[in-house]
Amino acid sequence: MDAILEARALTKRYGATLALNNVDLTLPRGKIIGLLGPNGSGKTTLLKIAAGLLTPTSGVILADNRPIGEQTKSVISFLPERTYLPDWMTVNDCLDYFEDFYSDFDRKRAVEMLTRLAVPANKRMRTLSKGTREKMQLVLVMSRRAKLYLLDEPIGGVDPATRDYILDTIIGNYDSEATILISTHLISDVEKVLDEFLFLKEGIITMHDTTDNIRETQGKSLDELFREVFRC
Amino acid sequence: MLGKLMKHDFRALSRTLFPLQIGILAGGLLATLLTVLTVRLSNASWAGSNGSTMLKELIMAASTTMSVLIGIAIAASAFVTILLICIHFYRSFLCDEGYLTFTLPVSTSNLLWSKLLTGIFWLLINAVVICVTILIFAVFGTTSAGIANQSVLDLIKQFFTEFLPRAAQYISIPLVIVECVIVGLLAIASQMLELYFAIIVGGQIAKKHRILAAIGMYLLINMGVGIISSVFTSVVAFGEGVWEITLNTAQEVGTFFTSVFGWYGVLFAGLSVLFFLVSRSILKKNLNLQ
Repeated sequence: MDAILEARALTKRYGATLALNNVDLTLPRGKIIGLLGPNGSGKTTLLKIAAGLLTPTSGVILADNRPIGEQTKSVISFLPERTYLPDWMTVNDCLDYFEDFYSDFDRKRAVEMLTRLAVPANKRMRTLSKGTREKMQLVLVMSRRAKLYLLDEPIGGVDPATRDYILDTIIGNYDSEATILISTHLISDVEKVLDEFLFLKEGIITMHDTTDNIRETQGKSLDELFREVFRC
Repeated sequence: MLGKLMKHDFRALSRTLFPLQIGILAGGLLATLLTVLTVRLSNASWAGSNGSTMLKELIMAASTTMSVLIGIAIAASAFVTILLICIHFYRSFLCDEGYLTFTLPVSTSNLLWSKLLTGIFWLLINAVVICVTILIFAVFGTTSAGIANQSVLDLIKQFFTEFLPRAAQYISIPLVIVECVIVGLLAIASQMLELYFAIIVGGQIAKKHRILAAIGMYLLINMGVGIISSVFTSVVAFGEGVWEITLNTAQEVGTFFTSVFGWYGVLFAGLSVLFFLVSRSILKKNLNLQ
């Protein structure tokens, strides 16, 4: 089966800082993959390049066998770590917006999830708490029938109960044919749902393996391995 | 997709620009009423105590001040409209909202077209609202007797019944109207695209003070545009043989201005295409949303 995301010699510089250094990467379809690394390792940069928000300094990146552009954006659902919905929009406006632009958006599913969250449809974004806005974004992103989900720190900075809600939403709403690339440094929370993982250190992928293989061959949990590899 | 983008851009801009236009009309009506009040009071003979004369003068002074302030606010509304359009562009492209804008499955060209067309639309609405407000003021706010100022109405009537038929003997009125509309739209488009271009470049060169950088870029670009315009008009003027042109008859004057207008249209079109293509290229090949 061909790859959903492929990078070859992908490099990104911010002035003198090398955020991604010659990254080679092939991600299969139908997997939940953890993009793991400490702060500043290049996780967000990689996701933003794949989402089309950053231009790589050099190298090639393909999503669904196409260069990043208009067509790849229709199959990629990206959840950034910041809230991006305009604060004047109501919940309904946001649903309209996604429905207008994404043919794979499942409004019914989004409404169901929002009803469970008890978010009123006529509420403006500015009146919602930061946590609810983040959940709202997650609902929008996961209500798409995308081929590739890029989730940047979806469980960072939230309480354990919300963490469970987010992970349940992610697992409960993705198509088994789709791939989820989820960046986090909270390994223990996501470990149970990951099929594969990537370790990213100072812009270099130091390890790409399946979680089962690590448990079987090294007898360690991913969290233990992460602590060992990234020990300060 | 362009239609959908325009729909959402229009909605976003309407939130601030629609109330602004209503405010202009309301302000214009208020200024008209206050001016009428001032004119009527100044003509009225108030026989009475010093106190009532003072009250009359006080009301007149307050009305005049209010009218002038409203007039300034209406004149400034065009600037405010442009400012609000630019803020919308800045937020959509360079702030957190950019994460939404640039992950949409639409082309960069369509993103720019949408911002351009909705911006032009609102500027035209603003121009119409200002013209209507001025017309209301001129007709109803400048008379000391009756409701409407008959001399202003006569002047408007004269324009259509005398001036235009006379002008039509020398120039083609429909052609001039079409030319004015096209050149006017191209002028607005080149100005909007110049502003957008300055915002995009400002966002590229500065990490923190992007708005300041955008203003600086706009001033620099404007200087460049000024130089290009001067060179262009000089080349065109000499190419047209400006020293041989005589402006003795109305027909010669009409032909001359039609030609000048046409060349300005070419200039604005060229600048618009240049700003659009460079902006698109930056957003497509060098987007770095922090």
